[in-house]
Amino acid sequence: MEERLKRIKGEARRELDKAKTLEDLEALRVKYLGRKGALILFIREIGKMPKEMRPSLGKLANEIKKTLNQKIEERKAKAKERRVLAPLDLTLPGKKPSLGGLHPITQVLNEVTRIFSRLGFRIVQGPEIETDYYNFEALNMPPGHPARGMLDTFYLEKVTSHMIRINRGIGESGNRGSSSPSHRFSVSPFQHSCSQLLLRSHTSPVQIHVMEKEKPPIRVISLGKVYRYEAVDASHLPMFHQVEGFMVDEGISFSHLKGVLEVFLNELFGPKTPVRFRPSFFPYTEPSAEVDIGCLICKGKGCSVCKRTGWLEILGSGMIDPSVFKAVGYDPEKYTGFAFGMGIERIAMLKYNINDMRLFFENDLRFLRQF
Amino acid sequence: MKVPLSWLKEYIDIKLSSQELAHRLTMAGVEVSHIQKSGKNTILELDLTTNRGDCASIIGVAREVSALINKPLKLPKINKEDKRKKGIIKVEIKDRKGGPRYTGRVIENVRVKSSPPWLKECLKSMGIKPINNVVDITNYVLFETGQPLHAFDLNKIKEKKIIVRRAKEGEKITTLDGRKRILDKSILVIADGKRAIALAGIMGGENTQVTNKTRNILLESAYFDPIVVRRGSKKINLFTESSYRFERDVDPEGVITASRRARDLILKLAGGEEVAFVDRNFLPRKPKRITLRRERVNALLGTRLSWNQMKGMLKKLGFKIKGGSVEVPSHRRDITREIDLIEEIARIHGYHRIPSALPGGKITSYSQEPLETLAPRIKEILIACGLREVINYGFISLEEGKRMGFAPREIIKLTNPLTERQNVMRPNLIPGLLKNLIHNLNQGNSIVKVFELGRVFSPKKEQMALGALLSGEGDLYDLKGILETLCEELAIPSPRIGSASLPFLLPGREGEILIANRKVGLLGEMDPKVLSYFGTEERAFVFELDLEEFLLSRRAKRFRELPKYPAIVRDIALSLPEKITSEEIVQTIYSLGGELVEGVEFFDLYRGTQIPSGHKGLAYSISYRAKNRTLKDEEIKRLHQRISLGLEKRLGARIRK
Repeated sequence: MEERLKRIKGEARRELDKAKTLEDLEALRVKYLGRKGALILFIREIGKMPKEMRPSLGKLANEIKKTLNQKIEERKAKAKERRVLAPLDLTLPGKKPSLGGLHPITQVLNEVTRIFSRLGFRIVQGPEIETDYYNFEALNMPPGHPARGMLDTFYLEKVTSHMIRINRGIGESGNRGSSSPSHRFSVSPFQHSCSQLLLRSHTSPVQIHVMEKEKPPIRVISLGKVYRYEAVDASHLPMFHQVEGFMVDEGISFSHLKGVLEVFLNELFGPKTPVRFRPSFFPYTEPSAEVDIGCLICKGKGCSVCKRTGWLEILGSGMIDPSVFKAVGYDPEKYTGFAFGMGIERIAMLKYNINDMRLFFENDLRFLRQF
Repeated sequence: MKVPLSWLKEYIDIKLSSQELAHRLTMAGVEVSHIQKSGKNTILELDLTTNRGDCASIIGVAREVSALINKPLKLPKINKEDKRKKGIIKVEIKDRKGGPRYTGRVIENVRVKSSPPWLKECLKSMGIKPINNVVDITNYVLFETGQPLHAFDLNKIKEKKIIVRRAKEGEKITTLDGRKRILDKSILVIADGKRAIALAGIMGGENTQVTNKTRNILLESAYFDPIVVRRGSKKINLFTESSYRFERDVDPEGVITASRRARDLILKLAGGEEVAFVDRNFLPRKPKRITLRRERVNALLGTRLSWNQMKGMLKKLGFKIKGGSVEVPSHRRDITREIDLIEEIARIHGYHRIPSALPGGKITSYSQEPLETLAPRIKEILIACGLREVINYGFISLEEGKRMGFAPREIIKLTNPLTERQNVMRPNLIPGLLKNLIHNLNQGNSIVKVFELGRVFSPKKEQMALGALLSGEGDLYDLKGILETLCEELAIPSPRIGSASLPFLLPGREGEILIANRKVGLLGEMDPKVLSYFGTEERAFVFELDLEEFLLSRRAKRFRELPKYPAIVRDIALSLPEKITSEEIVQTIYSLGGELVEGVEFFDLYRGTQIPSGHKGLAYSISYRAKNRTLKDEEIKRLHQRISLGLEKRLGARIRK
């Protein structure tokens, strides 16, 4: 009988060692010390045993009961202290909150804006519906100019009175317009009932809008959609985003154009990105420069993305042409300035290694979630 | 344009590797887009900017290379005599704007046959099919000098007369490519005594084509106006090597050189004899002169170049300098102003040698437009609400616009759409959001929660709009909650929903969004009929805001003192007729409770067995608080009781226990 008692004691000990949680310990107590617990049942049986065995067995059994009870209680107290709950499988995935996210184009635009804000540029938005005058003529592209061919344009059916308005930051020297709180948008409506309406094919018209209303010094960037009459494929869409920037003041030189764009490109693509400027042609800048960065994919060795040249064309720029200044009534002898423009989709494609431009406006959530 | 290296080397000694040469040209603004090896020959592919028509020839490129590497040009030897015999051909220029210079040269007794192999090879490397020696020579000289030429069969020219004039309305001509073309007054033609025989500067006509039977030819070399050629070319949709060059403005002095060069080659390869030459010229003959200021160059470029350095660079490019005055060579039609000379200096000096600098000067203070500062904030809030940003095209189809309830006259149409699916400007954002929904459902993305911030267009104006769509998860109240959150975060008074009837929303589940009693947008569940037109049976909830109107009611954020005394919250459950709105109940509670009612929060809507039919169960938590003391239980009990009774009396509510 004593053997049996010791066996119960041994088992209880072993199980006690393994028990970790409050639940385990309670189960153990019930198993041995509960109303139908093994030890309790044994103690009840003692009465039926031969008389001479009873005292010693009884004593032993009660001692075991007492220590076991004590140990369980101690362990329970400890478990409570450590609040040991059932262990979790932490390799199971976490529960993610359902977050939204910004479109990758917006993310790149924000990045570009951040860098130029630091350099003192402010944001001005221009209309997507423009007139021939702002999109071409004032930018030194009179009717018949060959450069118009590079900007294949969507035209709009005549409407009687379309208002073209710009929202703009109010510069120190700009007219402040109405300051009443009920008219917080400095909207400058003007009508072009007789002018041909079109979808702007670049963001450069914003230069004209701003300079028509403000005097230098000016540092402005403008971002938004532009439209080109182009068939859709992996690298062409009839609509894309551009950032336009320009700076006008006394004494601005080509050196400044280089300095500002180098800072910008090194911040956007990394401090060691090589940048080169090469002569090009835009009707609204002179001298004009195409700006390339060392290919991000092959690091300048030559690959299919950079067409084996080691360089990627990233933006167009130049000193604002005197004829543009004349169109807005600035004295080109007094003021000089530079301007630049770039396509945002192209930058996003390079930055995120996206190979098909169409993905941007399909808005497939599996695509959008990756940024 | 293609430039075979072997051909280029006929006019200049080049020791550089083709890569190095390509690099030098590119960095001087004559971009070599790639280098192609074909057999033994290397071909540079040039991507010319529209201003550099002077480089659209092998000699033109050689001239540029000569300036870059400081080597002299080796030009072909040309006989400078012309047989100016009168009476054989008459040239009359009727349109002096379109064709201010026309030369015609008559060569008789030529033998038209196939060209020698070197000439055929030359044209093939330029991507041109050899035809016969006379035609091939005109093409050869076009590529060599950049001056387009044309040879007519003299015997086919009626009345031996050349007239440069605009086409008559509806005049017809069959061009050398065999296509019949109907012309109008915008197109400049070359005509004989009877009919049009060529599209000036674009392509010759079949009626005067040089064939193997031709004996006598008239060789045309002319200057046509760039804009006239460009418009004509665009009008009839015909772009040729010839029109490419005229559009970019050819060298008016090169007209004669090219004609002589072609004559020399024809006499050599086809025999015959030159009998007459006519030159009608209405172009100004004086070379252009421009004043150049050294300080201006350095100020604009940020350089410290000496006058001698500047002069040296310009001389290499063929400019002549006397004092501060610069004479422009006739082939540089793009150079008319001082700034153009400055660009030439920058280009030859090398952009990489211009130092970089950051502008000093003062940074002006400015206040950014509310829209520019708030747009990013609005996006942040919506993202935090779990919505994803989408960007859609600015155009949709007219049919989609109509489904949105817009009459065709309220929609701006494109005159030259790419496709019928994108032929109008979007009057609102909903069609784009719906297309995003359909695309995602088709891809197996069943939960779609998106927003877009973009322009919408009406014939009167364009404006910024904000649209949102929920589908697959949540309902109209979830969407309204997002709208309310947006208002709270932007310090805009909470929106009210007024009744409205919109053609694309479900009746009874639609409304206009009112802020401070001004209409700023709409909200509702999409009508299944519209959804099915776009291609889904799923439910979808949308709102759209006119962003400017929406932001007008924005207030400045002001801190409110935190309460010093505790609030007491009591719930109230009501059974009411269906027609009573939650808004009425809340307003009634406020008006009954007075200033001690701090807030009323809805927490349950119930319809079921315990509520009589035609009624609904609503439950609210009312929080009571006084500013200056702790409220007593007894006081709250009385007030809560008063509110309960008031609701029963005013709204016919029954208090549920």
